[in-house]
Amino acid sequence: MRAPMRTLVRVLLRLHPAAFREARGVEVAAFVEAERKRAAHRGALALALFWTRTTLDLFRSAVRLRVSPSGPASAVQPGRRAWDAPARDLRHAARALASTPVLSAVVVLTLGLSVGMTTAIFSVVDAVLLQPLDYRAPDRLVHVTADVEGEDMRALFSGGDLQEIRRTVDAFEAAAGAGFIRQNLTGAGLPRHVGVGWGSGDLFEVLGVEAALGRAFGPSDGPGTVVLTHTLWRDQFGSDPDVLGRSVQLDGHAHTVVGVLPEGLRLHLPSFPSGDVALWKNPDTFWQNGDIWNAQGPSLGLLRVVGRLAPAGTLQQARQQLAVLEADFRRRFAEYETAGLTLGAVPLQNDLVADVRRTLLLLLAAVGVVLLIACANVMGLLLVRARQRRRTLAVRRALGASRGRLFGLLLGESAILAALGGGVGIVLAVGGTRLLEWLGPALPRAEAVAVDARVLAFGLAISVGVTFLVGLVPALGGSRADPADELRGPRSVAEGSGGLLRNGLVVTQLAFSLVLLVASGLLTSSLARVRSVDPGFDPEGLLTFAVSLPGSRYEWPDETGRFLIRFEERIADLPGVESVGIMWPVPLSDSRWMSLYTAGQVDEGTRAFADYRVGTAGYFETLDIPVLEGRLFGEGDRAESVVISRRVAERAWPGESGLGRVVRANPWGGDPVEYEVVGIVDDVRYADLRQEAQGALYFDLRHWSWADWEFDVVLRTTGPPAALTPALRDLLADADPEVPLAAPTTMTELVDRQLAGIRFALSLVALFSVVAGVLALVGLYGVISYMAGRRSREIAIRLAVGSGRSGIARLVLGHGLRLTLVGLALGLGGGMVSSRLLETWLYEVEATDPATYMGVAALLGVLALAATAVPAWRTARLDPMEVLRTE
Amino acid sequence: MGRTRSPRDLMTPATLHILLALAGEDLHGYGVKQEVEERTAGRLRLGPGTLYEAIHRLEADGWIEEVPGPDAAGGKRKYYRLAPEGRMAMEEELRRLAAIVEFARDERLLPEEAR
Repeated sequence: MRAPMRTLVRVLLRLHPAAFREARGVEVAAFVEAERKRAAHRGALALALFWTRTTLDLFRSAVRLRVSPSGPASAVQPGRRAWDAPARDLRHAARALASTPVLSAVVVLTLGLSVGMTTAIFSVVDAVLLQPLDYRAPDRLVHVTADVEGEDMRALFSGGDLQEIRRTVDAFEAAAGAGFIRQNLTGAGLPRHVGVGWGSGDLFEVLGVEAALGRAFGPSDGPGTVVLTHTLWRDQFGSDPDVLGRSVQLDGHAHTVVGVLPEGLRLHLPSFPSGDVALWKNPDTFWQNGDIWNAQGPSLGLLRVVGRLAPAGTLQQARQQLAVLEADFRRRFAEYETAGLTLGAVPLQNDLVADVRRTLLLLLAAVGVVLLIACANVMGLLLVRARQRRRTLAVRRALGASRGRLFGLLLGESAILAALGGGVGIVLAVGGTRLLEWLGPALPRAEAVAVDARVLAFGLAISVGVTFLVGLVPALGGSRADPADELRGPRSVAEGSGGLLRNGLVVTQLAFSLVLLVASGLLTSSLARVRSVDPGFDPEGLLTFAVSLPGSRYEWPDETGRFLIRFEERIADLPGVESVGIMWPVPLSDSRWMSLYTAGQVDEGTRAFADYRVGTAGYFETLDIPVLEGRLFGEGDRAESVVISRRVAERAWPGESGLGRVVRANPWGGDPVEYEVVGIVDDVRYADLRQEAQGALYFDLRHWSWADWEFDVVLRTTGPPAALTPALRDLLADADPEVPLAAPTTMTELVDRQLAGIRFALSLVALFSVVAGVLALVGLYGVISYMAGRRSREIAIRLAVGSGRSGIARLVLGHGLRLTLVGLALGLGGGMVSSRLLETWLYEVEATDPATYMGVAALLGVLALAATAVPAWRTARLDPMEVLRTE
Repeated sequence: MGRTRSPRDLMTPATLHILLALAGEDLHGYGVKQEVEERTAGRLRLGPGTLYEAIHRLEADGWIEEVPGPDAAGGKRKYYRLAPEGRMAMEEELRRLAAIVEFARDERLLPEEAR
């Protein structure tokens, strides 16, 4: 016998009572071995059948010997086939369930809903957090981080930094850089503004990604080489296999297509908009804004760096070597020193999903709570059901059914319920996964979310787990029904031991649902508070889009500036446009631009960041940003003029006017330059609605425009903003047919995107808490009804001897109230402990906000009282004579 | 043995066949299984759990008893012998079955007879 089979027999024997095992174990093993030899002669199928039959046979004898260790020998039932008995149990169970259709349906739906929700959430957790990335040996990939001390901010690297990392960190066998820019793609249908991944020559080698068609670019390729994503190849090139070798223009420069990436493959890098990348290009020097691949120090930082650990290298070594490099950087570049630059190394996958991990784990925890509540609920229902059928079961027992049979019957019922519930659950999970995709914020790796074999296995496993959890106790209780006891006559008044369990289950459900309701309450107040934040501008009726002029045809800053100013004037003349301005970047967009500055009391060595902006005066009018002092940009101003926002002025010159003073800033890299303050405007929350504005420096577009990078145009419309897009597209095509209108969106959409994360968490937690609350209330109602029913004889006697009906109602209500109060108390405690998990999403609401806790507890309390009042009222209206006659 | 027979103690075919197998000669467990299979032309095949559960219970009830095996078997295997109690129970069951067959024969319900 092979070792696993020996183990199987040993395990099966273990299931038997010790007395049997000691007396018969050796014989059983010898028997099995003799039979196995016979079966083995007849082929693999016979052997497989033999093991199935033997396992079932030994399992059944174990159950029978456990359930009734001293039953009569004469009743041992072999069954013609070993699976006859389970099959018969299942048939009987199905019939029994069909006789109580409502209860069975409630159980199936409860299980289905909770299994479905849990499986759907798991499918996302699995795809986003658990599945390894699509790279070769992804666990050896490390993201090199450059954190800014004390700020929630990360710097990007320049090409010079990347070269230093390659040179000094020998824990890496290689390190690649990747940047993201947007460029105008022409030479393939209509001009399009597309996201371009800008990767070092070794990027694909380091990640271990290969092309589906042609090849990925490598270190030996000259400038002007591109690899298309599958999506761009399909949409823009009609999946043409002859695309290899074709030339496309990026901002007017010719690039040769050498390959197409596999379908669905996205190069996931932290904080990298990989979903927006249409094609990848290798390093070139065509970019008008500078040569990022050879720039030194903090200027022109545009790269994320990914290292692959050498066979002998460790993360720890990489960190130590980066710390040495950090000291060197700080010594060489004053800006790194001021910013408190900290180099670090984080496993790529961890870093990629760091932001969503908390959300997903919160949701997994919440849905797990719902699953627990559903289990408690179903178990309560099955207990009541088993209890109500005790007489039937006792009769069957008296007629000769063994305990094992009854146990099998009851467990069979649970198995059918769990199978149906699991089936419903998996259907719901498939739908739920779609819903999550639609509802969810842009999760990294969301494209991988699917109900696959792993997810199905998970759904199946929890269904089976739930069966045993909720089915075992009622089955054991029911099969123990003592015929003599049950058939003796009217039941005694005393409550059985099952009462404690039933009460406990209800209390548990109430407590857990209160925890979820508290979470919903806290998230709701947070969302309301984020919504009521004043961002510093009025987002209603605003449309924004981007325009990027190619440096190959526009001299900057003169030609680009003239084009943009002229374009702004022409938009202002369009019917339906109230006002228009240009600024890069507009508030709440994906782009961030900030840097250090010094002015007044903000001296060298003080770490003060400001949002840097370049645009026109029309922007302030369009967004309704008030001018507090001075004026906006004027015709005759010097290039070195700046408009600052209130926060910068207050930090630099507290209590004084900042007009006419000097701010030192370096928007274009290199050494700081002095700018004269001509005006002070109010603050705008540029990065995040939940973050106080850090202050902004505005530079005049007429002097400081650029090419090969976008500007945002923003306009206030009299009608619906999006309706103007076609007219704007025509206008731009007329001004330059090769420059596309990019990313048109309304400002309210940008605001909504800010709320997406918290709204996603809230909508799911709210859904879970409502389901949980309903289940708990149904559970409470069920238990109170059942208890009242069981005590109907006692109550009838009380009524008959003159008890008041109000006293009876109070009795039943009191029971419900006690359960509710215990449940609420436990729930409040649980909420206090668990709401700390929520802190990431809370905004201006304490995790222990008393108003929320009290409000939610009061709400659940009132509903619970209502759920108790119905059976209480019914009981108080009992007709005592009726009850006593039927008993 | 003071156990009284109640309707739910009706002897199952498995028990009866085990007793019948041991009525002829003392056998070890696996021998019982082979004997039963032979007698029933393979229609009753006892699995290890069923067989030893029955043996376990029959021994506890005193219907069969363990005896040392013949020296040829190396004396290692446990052999079982039908005890007087078991013989009585078997005979009682056989009489019950015989009465039923008798009745059926009288009523010409048995297929061979009706021919």
